[in-house]
Amino acid sequence: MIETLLAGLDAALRIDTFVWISGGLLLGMLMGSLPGFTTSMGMSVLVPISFLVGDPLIGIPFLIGVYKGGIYGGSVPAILISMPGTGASIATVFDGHELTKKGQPRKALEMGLYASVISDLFSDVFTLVMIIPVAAIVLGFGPPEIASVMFLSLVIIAVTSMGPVVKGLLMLCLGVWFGFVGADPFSGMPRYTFGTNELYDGFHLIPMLIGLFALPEIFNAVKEGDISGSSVGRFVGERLRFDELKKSLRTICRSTVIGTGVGLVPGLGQPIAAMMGYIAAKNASKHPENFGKGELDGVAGAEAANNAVNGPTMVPLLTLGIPGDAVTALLLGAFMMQGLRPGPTLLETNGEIVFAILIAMVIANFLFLVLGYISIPLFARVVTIKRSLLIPVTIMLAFSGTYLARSNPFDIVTLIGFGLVGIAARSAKFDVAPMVMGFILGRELEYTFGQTLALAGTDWVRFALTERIGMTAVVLATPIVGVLLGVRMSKFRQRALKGEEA
Amino acid sequence: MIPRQTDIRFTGIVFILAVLALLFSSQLIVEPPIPLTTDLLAMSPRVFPFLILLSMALVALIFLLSEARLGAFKAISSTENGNQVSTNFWRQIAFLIITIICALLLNRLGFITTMFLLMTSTSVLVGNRSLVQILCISILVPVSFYIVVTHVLRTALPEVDVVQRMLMSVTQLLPSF
Repeated sequence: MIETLLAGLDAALRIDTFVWISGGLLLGMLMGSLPGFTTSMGMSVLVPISFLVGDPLIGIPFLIGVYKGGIYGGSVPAILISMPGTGASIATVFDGHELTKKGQPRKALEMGLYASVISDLFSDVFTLVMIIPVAAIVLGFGPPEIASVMFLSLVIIAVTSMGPVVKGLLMLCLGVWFGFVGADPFSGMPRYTFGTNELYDGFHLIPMLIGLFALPEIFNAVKEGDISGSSVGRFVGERLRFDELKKSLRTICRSTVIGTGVGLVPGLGQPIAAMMGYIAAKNASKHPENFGKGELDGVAGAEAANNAVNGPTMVPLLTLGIPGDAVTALLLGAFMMQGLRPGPTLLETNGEIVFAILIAMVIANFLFLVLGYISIPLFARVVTIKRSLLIPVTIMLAFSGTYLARSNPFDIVTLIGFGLVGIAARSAKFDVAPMVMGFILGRELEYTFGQTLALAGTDWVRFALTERIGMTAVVLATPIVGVLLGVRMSKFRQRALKGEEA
Repeated sequence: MIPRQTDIRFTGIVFILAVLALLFSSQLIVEPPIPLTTDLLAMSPRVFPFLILLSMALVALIFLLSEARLGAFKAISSTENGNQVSTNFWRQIAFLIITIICALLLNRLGFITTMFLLMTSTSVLVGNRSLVQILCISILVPVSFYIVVTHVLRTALPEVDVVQRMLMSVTQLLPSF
């Protein structure tokens, strides 16, 4: 494994990789800085571009750059105009915008950048260290264990989705059902194809993701019309002093640990991590009354926690093929387009590439710091760009990206179809992330479950209780974890709502 | 339209879909023509979809019943301004129709013409009223994108012969990559 790691290091240290990471970081920060543009939307239209460049050591790090840059970029409009660029930046608004009102937006933006870079760096190193033992454990997994872990992940994703659990479960089932369209994995018989050849291969992931994430945003922009924060966003004020950063280091470390933990659990994601980081910073503060009134620790707590999620989400993705959130689902699509199949054997078959990508992620943080520092004034101005100039470009990228993924005209129909589903779900306040996870994991779950049944034969009780105790334990623990997490999440949502109101 | 009513409608549609798919599963899922042994086929292709559709119908029903208990089915008057809702609604409908038409025309009209139509109409619908800006974005961006994809990345995009020939004179002037 060490040789593979060293080979990965050798493969990662390439100029073109860093040029593309830098491009990804800048694009991500641009997308995040634009109010109304989310990271998932930006990434969904850029996934096909990552495939077109050919080399996975360019394409995947490029997308990782977009991911990292996008999460930080979301804090720019949150701080300057009180409009979170992404869901991850909601908690940044509470104190970030108050600092802007006090005439210190520069301080808030710099604190956001440093907190993001420090936490991201730590969580990426943690990912690099963690992936080897986790991969070694996962390598011993057979279809029964994989099926049970996928079942557990699906339950966690449903109960931790935005909004009521029932809605999350419904979207999850809908996603799993869409995954059934096409040939049955065992018999090859068609299911829900209505006799058409186009549906025999099932729906392709990329048009589905672009349809679900990009089209509803554009549809919403059409409703809202042209908006920009031209009159409010200004980048002025004092710089962040070293002693101020030093004072917040404790908060950054705490939020990094929170974000790293959240990132390891599929389904939770950045918005929850940011809120948890913010609440933890407030609870630990000697002056909690200052929170919500322009406290630098509030910005540090939220930004460190949301960026710390980025690295650890790669652990379940790369070792089990389980994406933690919508953005990692997009990364999964990018891996698959490059011919890499995340799962227990990925590290064995393509260990060098995986380590190279993870090392590139670590090094990307240094680029992130430099580029972020230089470009903060620029992205502070990006907030003022009119949306009517960017939405047409986005829709062009959505169409062309969908077509370029497979050069299949039917994918455009898939894009529109899932776009309509996404629009309907969004207007009804249903989170589409569980649907995407259900689509990705449902088919795999069916396949591994079928293999488990074949392995078990007729005496499945003996099989479950003597041969595969690990599988049985995970299956039995799933409802308990689901209920406990559901209860905690509903309490957490109530607390977060109170925090928002305050 | 307020979310409360919309989510009931969305759930209702999902419920109806699940019930219909359950009822017609024998027509929608084809069984293997010859019986396969359990080593090859431990599970019928209908089992997993049946379980998921049943769960989907049950979850949708639970949601609808809980909403009914809360009295959400009763008409709730909209708080938005009537004219505003109407303008926004028609703008969104127009956007959807244009998107669907452009998706269907992409192969016939080619990438650049379709994108010109799509981007122009989207710009107008989003609220841009500057003709110069609209034309610049709708022409320059698709043309540059087409050249980059076909010339630099060497990947095909659907395009009609006339436009392809016109652009060839431009791409011939560019260095090869």
